[in-house]
Amino acid sequence: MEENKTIEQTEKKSMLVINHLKKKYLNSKRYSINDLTLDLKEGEIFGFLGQNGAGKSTTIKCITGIHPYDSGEVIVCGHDMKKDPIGAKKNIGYVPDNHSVYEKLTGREYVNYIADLYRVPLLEREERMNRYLKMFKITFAADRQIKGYSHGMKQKICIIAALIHDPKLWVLDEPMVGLDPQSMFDIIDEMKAHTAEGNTVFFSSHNIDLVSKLCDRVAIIHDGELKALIDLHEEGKRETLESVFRSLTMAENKA
Amino acid sequence: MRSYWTLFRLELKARFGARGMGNPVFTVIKTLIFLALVLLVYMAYIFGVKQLIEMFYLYDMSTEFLVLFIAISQVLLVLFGISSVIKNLFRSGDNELLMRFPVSAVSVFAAKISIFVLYQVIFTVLVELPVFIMFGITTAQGWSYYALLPVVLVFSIILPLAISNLLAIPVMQISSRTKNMFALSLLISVIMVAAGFAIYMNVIQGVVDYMKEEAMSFFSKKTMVQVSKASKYIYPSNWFAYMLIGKWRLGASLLSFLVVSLFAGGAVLLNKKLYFSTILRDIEGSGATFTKVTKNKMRSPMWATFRREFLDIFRSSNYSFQYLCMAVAAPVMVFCCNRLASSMGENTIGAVIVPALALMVMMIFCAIILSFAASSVSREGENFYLTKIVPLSYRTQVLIKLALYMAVSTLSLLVTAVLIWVTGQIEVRYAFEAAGIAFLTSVAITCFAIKLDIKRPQFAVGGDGELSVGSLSTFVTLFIGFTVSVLYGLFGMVGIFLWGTSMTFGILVGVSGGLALLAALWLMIGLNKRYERITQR
Amino acid sequence: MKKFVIVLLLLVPLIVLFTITASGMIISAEVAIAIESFELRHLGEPVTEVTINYREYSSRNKKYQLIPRYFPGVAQVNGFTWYSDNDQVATVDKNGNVSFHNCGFVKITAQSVDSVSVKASCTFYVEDSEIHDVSIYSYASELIVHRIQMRVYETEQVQALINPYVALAGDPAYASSDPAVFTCDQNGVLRATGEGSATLTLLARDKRGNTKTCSIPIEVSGSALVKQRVVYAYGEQADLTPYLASGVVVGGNNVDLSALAAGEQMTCTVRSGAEECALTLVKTANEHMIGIAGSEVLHKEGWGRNVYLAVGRKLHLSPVDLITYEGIEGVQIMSSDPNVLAVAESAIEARATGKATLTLQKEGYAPMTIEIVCAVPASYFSLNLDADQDSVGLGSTRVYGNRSIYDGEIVNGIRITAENLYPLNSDPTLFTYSVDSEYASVDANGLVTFREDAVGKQVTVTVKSLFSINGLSRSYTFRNIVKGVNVGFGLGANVFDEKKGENPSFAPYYDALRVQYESRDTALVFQTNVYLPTRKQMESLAGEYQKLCFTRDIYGNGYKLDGQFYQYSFSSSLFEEGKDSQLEGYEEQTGVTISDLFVNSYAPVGTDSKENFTELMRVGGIPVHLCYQKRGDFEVRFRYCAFQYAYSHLLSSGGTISYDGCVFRNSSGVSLLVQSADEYTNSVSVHNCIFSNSISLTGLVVNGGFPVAKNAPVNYNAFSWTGNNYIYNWKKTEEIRLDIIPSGILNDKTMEALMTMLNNKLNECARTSMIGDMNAGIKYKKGKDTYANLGILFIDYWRPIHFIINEPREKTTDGLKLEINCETASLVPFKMSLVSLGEIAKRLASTMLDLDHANMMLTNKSQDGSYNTEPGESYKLDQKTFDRLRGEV
Repeated sequence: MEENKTIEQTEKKSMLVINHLKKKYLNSKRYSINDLTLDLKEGEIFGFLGQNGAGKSTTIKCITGIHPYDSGEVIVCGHDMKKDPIGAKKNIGYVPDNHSVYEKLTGREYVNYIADLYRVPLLEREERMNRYLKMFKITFAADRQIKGYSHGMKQKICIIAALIHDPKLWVLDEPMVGLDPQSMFDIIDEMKAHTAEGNTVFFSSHNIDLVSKLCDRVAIIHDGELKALIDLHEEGKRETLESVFRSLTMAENKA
Repeated sequence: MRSYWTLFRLELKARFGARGMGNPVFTVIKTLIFLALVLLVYMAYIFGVKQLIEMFYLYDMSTEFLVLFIAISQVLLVLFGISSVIKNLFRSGDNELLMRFPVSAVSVFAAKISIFVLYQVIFTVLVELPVFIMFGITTAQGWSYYALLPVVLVFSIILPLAISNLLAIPVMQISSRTKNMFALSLLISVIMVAAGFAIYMNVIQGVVDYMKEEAMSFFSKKTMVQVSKASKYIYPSNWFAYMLIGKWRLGASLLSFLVVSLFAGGAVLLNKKLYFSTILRDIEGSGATFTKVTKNKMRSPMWATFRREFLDIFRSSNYSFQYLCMAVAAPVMVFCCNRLASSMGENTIGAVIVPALALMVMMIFCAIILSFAASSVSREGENFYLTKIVPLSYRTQVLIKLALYMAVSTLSLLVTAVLIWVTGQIEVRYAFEAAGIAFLTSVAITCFAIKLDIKRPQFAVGGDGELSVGSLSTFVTLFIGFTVSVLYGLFGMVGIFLWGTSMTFGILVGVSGGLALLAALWLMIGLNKRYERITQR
Repeated sequence: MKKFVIVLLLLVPLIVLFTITASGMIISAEVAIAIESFELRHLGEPVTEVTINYREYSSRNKKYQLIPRYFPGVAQVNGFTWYSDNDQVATVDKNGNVSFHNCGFVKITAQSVDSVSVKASCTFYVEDSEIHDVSIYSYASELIVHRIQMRVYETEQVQALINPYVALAGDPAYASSDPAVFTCDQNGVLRATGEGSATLTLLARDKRGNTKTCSIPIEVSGSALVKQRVVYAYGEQADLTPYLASGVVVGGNNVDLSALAAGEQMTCTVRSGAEECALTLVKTANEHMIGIAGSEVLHKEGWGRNVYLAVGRKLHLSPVDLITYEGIEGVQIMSSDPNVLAVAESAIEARATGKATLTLQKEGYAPMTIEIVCAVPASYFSLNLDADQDSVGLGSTRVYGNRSIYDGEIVNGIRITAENLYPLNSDPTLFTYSVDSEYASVDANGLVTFREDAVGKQVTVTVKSLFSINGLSRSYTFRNIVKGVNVGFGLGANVFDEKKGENPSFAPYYDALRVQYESRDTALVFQTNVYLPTRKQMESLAGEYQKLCFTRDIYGNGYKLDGQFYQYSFSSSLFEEGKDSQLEGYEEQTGVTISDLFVNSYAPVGTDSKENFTELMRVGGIPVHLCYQKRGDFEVRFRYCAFQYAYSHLLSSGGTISYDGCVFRNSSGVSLLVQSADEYTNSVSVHNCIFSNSISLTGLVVNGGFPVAKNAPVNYNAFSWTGNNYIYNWKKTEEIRLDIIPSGILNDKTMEALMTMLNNKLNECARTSMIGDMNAGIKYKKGKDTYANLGILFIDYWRPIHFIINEPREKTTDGLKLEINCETASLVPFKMSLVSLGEIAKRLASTMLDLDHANMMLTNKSQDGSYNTEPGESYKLDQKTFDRLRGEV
């Protein structure tokens, strides 16, 4: 399935390299991820499509170090997740799908806590936090206990915290779920700005048309295997993405 | 009326229906142990009260005993009453549901109340009835006593019920306001626990002294006189008592009836008017969180994690009770146990053994406090993924957790050592040596507990993000902690007697040091790999 | 979770209680400490004398609970036996609940099962406002009488015995059913008037208004010799015929009084046939003299001397002209102190305690004055020796010397006095003393003197109270008189009493020194605890006296400065950890660090003996243990130390510990606890020491609980037992444990030392019983054979009796034969009832000795009933028990 790489892509540094990643849960026969290989370049928004149970969140969990994987390697900005997990994790900003946070803390306390973990200097964190708070219009709630936040507000604070250390690689798992439209646009702008600076966004979602509009390249995964790797910059690829996706995933189910 | 029954059955199912979320086997064990413990305490209670009755009879103060007993049980009923009225009537989650159904306020109120009355009846039958019967037998009361007993029992259900209803609403206001003042509520629970425990120990001391017929310090003549004088003015309990034993019976029963009906009427009236409005107001108010303005501040990752762990505990009433409150109240409780131990020990084995007993009691409280560590990972609950993605090695994170538990328990141990030294219970050298041994064993227990938790974490997290069900590892840690403490106690006491305190404590220090080392190694080796394998479904 | 934590909290104290009781059981099984003393308590307060209102207790069958509280707290106590000395008044059940049945006096005593000698008692005076029973007490026969026989003209005085006396309201009334037979007046004076029989009825009214009567038959037959016992006469001659009934005055009825001066009296004998009786003739100053009818009977000692009148009692006076015996009217009766003795018409009444003079006056008559003492009659008293009752543990076979020291003077005999009278203000001087055997005599002040040959004989002294409402009397029996001087009478236990803060006195010791100067060969019998204040005195006591008998304990030392006894309590370890040899002033340099001589003391030996370390431990169970961590050779010497409750053992390997002139009281004696047997040698030496009530004389505890390398060469060479070591153990009559744990096999030298000690003729005068510890048979390895060896030692007073110790001999196939043949005769005074042959057989069976059941036959070869078995009786353990005990079953 290897597409011929365009030149600019080759000079670009690969931000996230996944080689023959295999992952089987303890008491299950099937491989949740079966020999997945991907190479995310700097400055691109990489879409990750797949139905529920296709192995999407398992992959993300392996990339971010939450789950151990049986074989293969994950290299984040040159740091191998197994050999140098700390180095790798420093460069990842992960927004989980369940958006769970330490609800006992106030928003500001939580963000500061995460920033401390990534050793983000005070000035930098202050500027960034205020920017995001203003962007997501939840400055008013910064000092309120997260327990009292609405679902959407929790999501926003979780995103802010994930990005506070300006990670090179964003890993977003269904970030848009439950967000108001305005916040969605803000995130998209952020993603674009971030990639413009040469960082990478790994964007996993169900929303096919959003992916088609937003991403540079898309990988479609089904039953733990990479079914297709599409470069949306090529002519007509964005439009046909949905049909391609459906054909790849439906066919499997029917068979 | 029909809706009342459906609501009542709904309440019953909610209360006793869905049991335990953890695996069934574990819940069965847990309930069995819990029942066994309760049974043990209950038997001790019955035996203790029997001694008290005999003792008061010997002092010709049986009436005073009856008055006191009724008064105390009424107070207890009211206290429990208030907390359960608030919990059941006002703040239980399903109020909102019930509000939407087309049911009248009265039937909602009645359904909820009847659950509460059920508790009262159980308490009365289990706790009060046997005492009244024992009292009747020991003081050879006539048939009239037994005839009037049911009446008094009914009165002693209705009265506290009414009082707790009246008090529930104001108490609720205060509690919701103080809910987020964590320091204050922690302080209150510490005071309640320490005071309650001190009184409990005093009663046990009295019973032990009486059984030993030692110096009747607790029930010395002086206190007896005051007790008899005071008991004359404890209304309405003394009327209840007089009614029973036939002292100015007619007047007493009339007055009691009057008081009971007065309060009952007041409660019904108040509830009729206020019940719905309070529920409504309370619903909006519930979950009121606090705002706390903090400045952005840079901290080291270690210190930040330490602080976050602490805040997580400090800001949850459940956790702070089991952990912080115990740690803070432990010195007082150890002091009380020592007093009992030395007075009891003195005439059996000689005061020489008190250091060993102090050590044992310290270790027991460490076990209670540090069993909390057995849920340190499980308590992360939903946020467990965070521990995996942050750039902090698992070893460091676990060490920070260990540090937090050690910090609190060491502080508690030090305060205890100073307290028992200053109050002259134990020589300075042995007080701190005991604290040292207890510290080493608590290191061992904590490492052991965390390891257990890592091995089999149970992320079953309750509604408000807190562990509602005690995990198996907590129970295992507790059990082992208690057994080790008792073994140390036995070895210590016999050892001191044979080889002297310094020698015995020397040996114990060695053993505990070894244990601590072993447990730490067991935890640390292969920690990262083990930790990584934890997958939170 | 919260509820669960709360339940846990409730559980914590129960766990604490459980652990204490469990370890208590373990410890008390481990170590047996003798109970020393205890007191009885009621509702927390110590009680010795209690007045009980009968009604309050009997009507609600309420019991008076007595609880023994013993010292030391750690003593192993297997319970107490309770008994009452007057079951009619009160009985006591087995856990000290006293129930009252009647008024009167009773003494409830609790006795420790472990050491028979330790007792405590409480006296109850049960009163009531209602009279329970009334009886008539005759002064003549000094008994409660149920019938009286008299002869015409005879008079007799009776007294109403009211129980309880306090319930009496007013005076009891006497009534005669037939004045023709006998008459009686209100003072209880009966006068037989004619032959026949009648009834005397006594009626008493109590404070609740109801009355109680008691009537006894009076039989009058025959006639007395004289009409009255005392005749007053005036002038030179007196014709006695009118006063004679059936008798005739020897030497003629007319008696010549010229020789008598006024007021003097003479006695003539009146005879009728074989019977004689005395008639007192008193010459009066003038012809008319006032007297009181029946005075010669009132208080048998007659009016002449002072008369006692019980407070609250009335005495009816009927003035009489002593010469003509006609009544006199118009006699003036005056009392010198009306508030003490009140006069009303013809009766006098004692109002308060005190003395008053009663004068009866009338014109033309010589006045009569009588000294009257108003006092409260004694209704209870005990004897000082009683109070100091035998705590020696051998029942009443307590030992007494035939001479004693009182206030520094050696006095021949022993003084017995009455004390703790009830009620308090009755007159303590009014007691009569009498002795029942010719080996001793007693004077009017209660000084009992013994004849030379009284040794070993039984002498009972009876003390009777003259002025008591029911003829109270008490007696004390000396069963074991020896030729020696009692020292320390009257000091009671002479113990340091923490509560009262009383320091023990050194008097007994100084008195002993006085005896020493007076007569070298006399034995000393210490009747109280003896304090040896300084080293010098300890030396003298340990060395020079031949015959010492300690009926109580020898306390080691306190030190005395300017007369004040210092108790020096010292509880931290004498040697600081880690510091090099702290033994300043210790002559030899031991070059060793003693890491932990944990010694806490009660009273060190005097300041003049600074160079040694001398500690006397006060609180039970704290060991002296030289816990020596570093190996290497070292020597620790205890000179003139006193150990009380000590577990002095040397926990080390490679060292010597020597005890020189030490006193072990209530201690576990000397034991060498060896931690690990390797090439180091350890030795213990005991020289000139005194062991009083020590539990294990000496012990070589091998690998006491510590792991010993399985096949390590075991080598303990030196155990020396030299000089005059005295073993006194009055308390534990059963056994002193020779605590040699069999698990170690001893080498030759140590064995010799032990054998000398066992066969050593311990000080003759030592009086003890010592049974080799059955479960620690001493194994003696010689070559390849092992010998089982057992020593039972009976040392009796003044007669050295040793039991033939089975000489160590080849291990024979027929196992061990135990004979008890004490060849010299008498063990009489020493009842070994406590340990029976059966008991010894069982203990033997459970030892490590290689016994086989077939030939294990115990025979009592002694000539008398020791082992409460008859001489020659034998005992064989049944096979099943034997196997069980051997652990083979």
